[in-house]
Amino acid sequence: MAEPDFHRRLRAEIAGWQADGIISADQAAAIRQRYAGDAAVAADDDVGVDDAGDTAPGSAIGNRVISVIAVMGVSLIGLGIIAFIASNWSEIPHSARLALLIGGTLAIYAIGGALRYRWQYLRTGTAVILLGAIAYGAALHLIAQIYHLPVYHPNLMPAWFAGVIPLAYIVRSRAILTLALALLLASVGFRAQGWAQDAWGYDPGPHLALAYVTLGALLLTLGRLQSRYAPTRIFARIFDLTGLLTVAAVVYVLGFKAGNVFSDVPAYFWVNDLLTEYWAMIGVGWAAAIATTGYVVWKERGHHAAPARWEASAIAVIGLVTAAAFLGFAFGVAWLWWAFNLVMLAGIIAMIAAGYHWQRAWLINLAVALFAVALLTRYFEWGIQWGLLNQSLAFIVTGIVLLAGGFALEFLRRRMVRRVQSDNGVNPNNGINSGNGGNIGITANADADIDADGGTP
Amino acid sequence: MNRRPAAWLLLAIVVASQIAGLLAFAGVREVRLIAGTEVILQTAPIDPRSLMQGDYAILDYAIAELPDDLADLPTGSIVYIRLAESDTGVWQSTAHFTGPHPDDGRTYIRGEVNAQGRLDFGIGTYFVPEGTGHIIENAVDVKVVVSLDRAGRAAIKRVLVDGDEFAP
Repeated sequence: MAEPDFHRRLRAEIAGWQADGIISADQAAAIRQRYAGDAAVAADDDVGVDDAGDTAPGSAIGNRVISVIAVMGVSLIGLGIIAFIASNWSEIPHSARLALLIGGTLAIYAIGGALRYRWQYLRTGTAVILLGAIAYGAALHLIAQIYHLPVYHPNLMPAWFAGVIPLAYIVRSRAILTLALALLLASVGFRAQGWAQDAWGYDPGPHLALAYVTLGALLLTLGRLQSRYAPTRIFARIFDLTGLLTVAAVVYVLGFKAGNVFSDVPAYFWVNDLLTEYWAMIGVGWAAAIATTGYVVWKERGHHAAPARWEASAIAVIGLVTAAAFLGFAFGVAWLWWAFNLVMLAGIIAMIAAGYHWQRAWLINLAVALFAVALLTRYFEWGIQWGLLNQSLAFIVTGIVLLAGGFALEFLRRRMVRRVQSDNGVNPNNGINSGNGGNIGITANADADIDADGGTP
Repeated sequence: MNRRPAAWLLLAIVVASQIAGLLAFAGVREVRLIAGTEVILQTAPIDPRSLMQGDYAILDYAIAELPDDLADLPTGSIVYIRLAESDTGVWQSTAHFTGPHPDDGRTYIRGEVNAQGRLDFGIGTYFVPEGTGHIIENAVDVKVVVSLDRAGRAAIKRVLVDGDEFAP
């Protein structure tokens, strides 16, 4: 792990130095050239599927293409298996179908294991094991179908998730982890039918929102924790991304003025006979998130404390969002929708700032995508509800604030770069980006799970 | 390289656990079907579709209605219904119990109060081959043959549509 880590970090560092004008493009190229031989091996480690010790021959892009094609193939086969079950084909007796699917699942795993571990077809083997994970879920649903268990049976998705999540870590596959986390999110949705069914015309959305924002916070903390350890570092970003997207989705939905979920909830929020399980899971989820964050802050107290403090702050903000949503639901605070729009905007700015500070392009890209979705939605929603004149005022004021923020950020950055250059005796006119602000400092090469200022990612 | 045999072993353990879980899942229900007491219940179905599991009929049982004195039971409460066979062969409810399963040798079905204030017996879904759900939905008389284990848990054996076994 040391060599790939070094090369990832080196790539991130070079991009950061170049962006800040500390070294020129030529110097950056010279440093990259100096380590080019070793980096070829390291580059193989940085592809989508997935093993940290993968040193298979071929370029990084070539390996990624193999992974993508293999995953596309198994996705199609997996959907085919699910459609076969959904058709409930009566020509084959249930027992034969069951034997076919259980036997098929075993055979798929055996082929995948042999490809991956015996014949060293790492990417194809991993993809076939992913297919086995899909076949396992299909078999679960086939048995449910044979015995006429209700479609909304709350244990099906959790059982599928429980079977798949260990595979992700054993096989070290981000594709399998992505499937597992999707199943976890679906599990919460299916269990919600037990927590808050639509009795008396009641919308279970509020309880779902609290459950999902809690799950998002927990996933984010687990991602941050895993980023601290080399064996689990490759999984960190999937957790980060899923956690952030889950929280963002909840905040986004709660920001709708139309169909405001805060307006007529109170009676049902308290009267509804929610199962103890629901509140217990919310409590356990937050206790786990706080404990994990506390551990990371405690572990990194001292000179690497800054990233952990940022992360703790983000979790604290998500906690406040959860508390605000809870109070909004409980007491019917109808105006709360606009506060969630401010939270969305603040969260997007914080993600851009964090992405800029720790050189993570994916975080900035995610923030921009969220901004685009939120902006387009609100443009149409508010335009219809408020009239275009009021909407134009709100957008222009917010836009001016953002533009001023951008100016302040660039001003501070230029001042910092000048100070670094003068400290190091670098001629500001000798490199690129020295003073005219032509480069915001994030490049594809900087998109690595390495903290630019030496901390953990 | 040292990790690979361990990874193989772990993969095998997880896969074996998955298969064991699937077999146990099916086995418990198979035993309930084979060894249980058979009763016939009256129902009224509707016909939706699941993306994962295909076409199915939702079965709404006549015995799912709670009596007035139990109408305020909270969601999730367990109720045992004592069943007795009528002259038509359909089993009807004769008494409701909210305590533990009555152990008097009679036939009981276990239900859980759902959010609509009706009883859910875990047999509210019947999967059918693609495109055949309308046969059940359009039928005049739909009965379900159910197998009950000693604890009163139910499993569907077959469906009778207008007197005949449903076999499209």
